Amino acid sequence: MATYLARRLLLSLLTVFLALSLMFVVLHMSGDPVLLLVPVDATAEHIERMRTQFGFADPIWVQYLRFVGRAAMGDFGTSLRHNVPALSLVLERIPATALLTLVSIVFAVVVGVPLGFLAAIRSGRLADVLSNVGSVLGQSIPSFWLGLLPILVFSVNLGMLPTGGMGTTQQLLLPGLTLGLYSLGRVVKLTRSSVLEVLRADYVRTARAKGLGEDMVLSRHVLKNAGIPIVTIIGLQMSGLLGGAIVVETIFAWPGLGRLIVQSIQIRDFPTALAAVFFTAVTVSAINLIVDLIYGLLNPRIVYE
Amino acid sequence: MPAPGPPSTRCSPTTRPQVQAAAVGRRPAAQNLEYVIKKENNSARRVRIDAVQSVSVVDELTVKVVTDKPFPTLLEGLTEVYIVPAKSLTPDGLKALTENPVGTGPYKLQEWKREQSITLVRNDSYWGAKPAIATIEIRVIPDVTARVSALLAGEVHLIPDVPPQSIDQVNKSGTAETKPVYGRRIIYVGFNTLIPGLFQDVRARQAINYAVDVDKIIRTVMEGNAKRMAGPLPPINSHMDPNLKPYPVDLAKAKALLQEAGYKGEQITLHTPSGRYLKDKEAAEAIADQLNQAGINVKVQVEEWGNMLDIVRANKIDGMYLWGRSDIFLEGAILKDLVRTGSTWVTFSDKEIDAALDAALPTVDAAKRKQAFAEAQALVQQKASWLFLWAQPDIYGASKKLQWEPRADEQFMLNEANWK
Repeated sequence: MATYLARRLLLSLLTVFLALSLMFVVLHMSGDPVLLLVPVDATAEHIERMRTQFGFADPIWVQYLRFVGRAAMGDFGTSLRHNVPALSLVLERIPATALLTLVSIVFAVVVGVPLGFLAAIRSGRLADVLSNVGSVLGQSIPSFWLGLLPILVFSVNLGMLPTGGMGTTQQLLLPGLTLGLYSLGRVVKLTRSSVLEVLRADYVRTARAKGLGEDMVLSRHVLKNAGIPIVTIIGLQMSGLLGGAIVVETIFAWPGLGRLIVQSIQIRDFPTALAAVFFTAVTVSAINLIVDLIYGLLNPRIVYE
Repeated sequence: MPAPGPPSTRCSPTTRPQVQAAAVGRRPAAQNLEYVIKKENNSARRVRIDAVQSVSVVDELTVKVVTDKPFPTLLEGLTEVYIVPAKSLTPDGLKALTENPVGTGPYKLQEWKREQSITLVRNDSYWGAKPAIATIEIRVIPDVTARVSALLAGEVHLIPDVPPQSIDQVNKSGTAETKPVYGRRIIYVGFNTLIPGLFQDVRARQAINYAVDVDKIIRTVMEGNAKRMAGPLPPINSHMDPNLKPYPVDLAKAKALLQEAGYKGEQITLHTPSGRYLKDKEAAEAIADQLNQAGINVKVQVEEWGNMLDIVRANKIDGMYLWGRSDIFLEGAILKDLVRTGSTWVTFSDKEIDAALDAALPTVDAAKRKQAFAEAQALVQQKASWLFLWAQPDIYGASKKLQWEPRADEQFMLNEANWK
């Protein structure tokens, strides 16, 4: 197990390094960052001076080595736009993103897994059909429409909920649900198909033949075995959400990581974009590792060495 | 040609003695101007007062400014230099200032949540008239529909840039209304004449102006929310020549001119940003559509804004491009930034226009100045430096409870606003 962990950690390190390098190259290819920082009537002289000041006048490989060297120490530089350490900007956004992620995932799992389960055991009947339709809708409806409609209904017309921002529980409701509905669709669908597959398995037939009550069959055998794909999808959803849900954050003015990343790329705030990629790469690697370890718990036959 | 003469206007703007900085009870020193004016400090504000040759501090309240040639817009330029506490005039000091801004205005900063909100409270030691509104919260709402919804729900009282399709909804809501004002923003299609191509020929540029029905586009795409511009200056500009007539629609003439210029039907690209200006992409598509129907082969290419800045500034953009500018001064001097050879965002060069501008700029006599700029404008129009389009209004949405009028210069001046 120890060697397995060590190997995974090394691989994660490599992943993060590659992600950062790729992002660095792509960002610098996207163009001149200084142009977006200066007023429209700035002189060419002023622009050149700023480029030197920020270190963009050096050859690209010098900039790259400088970046890698500092990043290894945890220094991602200063945000070009906000004039604060880039990494601290990213870390500032984590609570907001984590909160939204948590609410969405909890909603999706608490509602989705039972629903998918129900759909599977009542396969072919009304509950199944409804949940199928629902999950397809949840995944197909664009999130900006799904977000704007409740705003119009609950905020503008009924005045029950705020249109956006972060701070109160009320403000968390609409964005959390909007985001959760998309994850819900996926969780329901996957739970259903995973449970269906397990229900057809030999050992379930054997358990029933042994005389085991349906409750016991479902809880002891089906759930655990169906669990692996479900845990995978939850892990994937979480990775995706922790990178920030850009559309929902934009509509609800939620100060999350997604908006920060997109903004920093649009205004060419390289240090912030790179710090955000670093954080996302680390998070995704960590979640993948945890998910893999959970497999071992769910299925004792899986052994890591 | 500007006549060489004795060193020009010696003008001494003095600072107000009773102004007090919100956090530090000291008088802002004239050293500020000195700092900005010095080239080595690389201030972005310097370009507004670039004719200044030297600054000397006479005493704590008086500064002597000497310019190297007659510079009529000096006073306007100086208003764009913001005064900060003298002790902050170092790189570290300025950086610290961006964290904790200090000012002498009617409001002071109470809280700043990055990318979320800024809260301002009334400054009790302000030297001028006390604002009626005690607290202002500036809230960031990135999505335009969510912004309009927030206004309609009564959560916010003022928003800028109401999209045309929401104007009716806001005005019928009962809680808010739209307040349009024609400000400084102008939209035009630029030609790159600095690279070899069709548009180096003035006839080709004129042809495009004859071929596009701008009034129709204003009616259909902009839904009437634009004011046609005949030349390079918008109606709000004090030196715009109202007697200048716009290009009429004349397809036959356009085709003839193009033929003379040697156009053989090759494809022309119209670059446009998307979402940077109001209905930019839609306008570009309408223009291309009209041109194609007139037999001119035009294709629209949407560019990412950052990329567009790069290629325009490097003068590499080919063909035509939709662009917008903000008129900085309410005065003809903006022509220098807009059409003179060598200006940062100008992809056009014409010696006659340059000469006309160089003659007009140092003219101090008001009447002569106006005349000189009128001539320059007519020349610019005749030489078709752009496909002249329109001035774009700033459409604000305001709560009906708020007593506030929008300004052309995009300043909110909430210290002058009140509740009804």
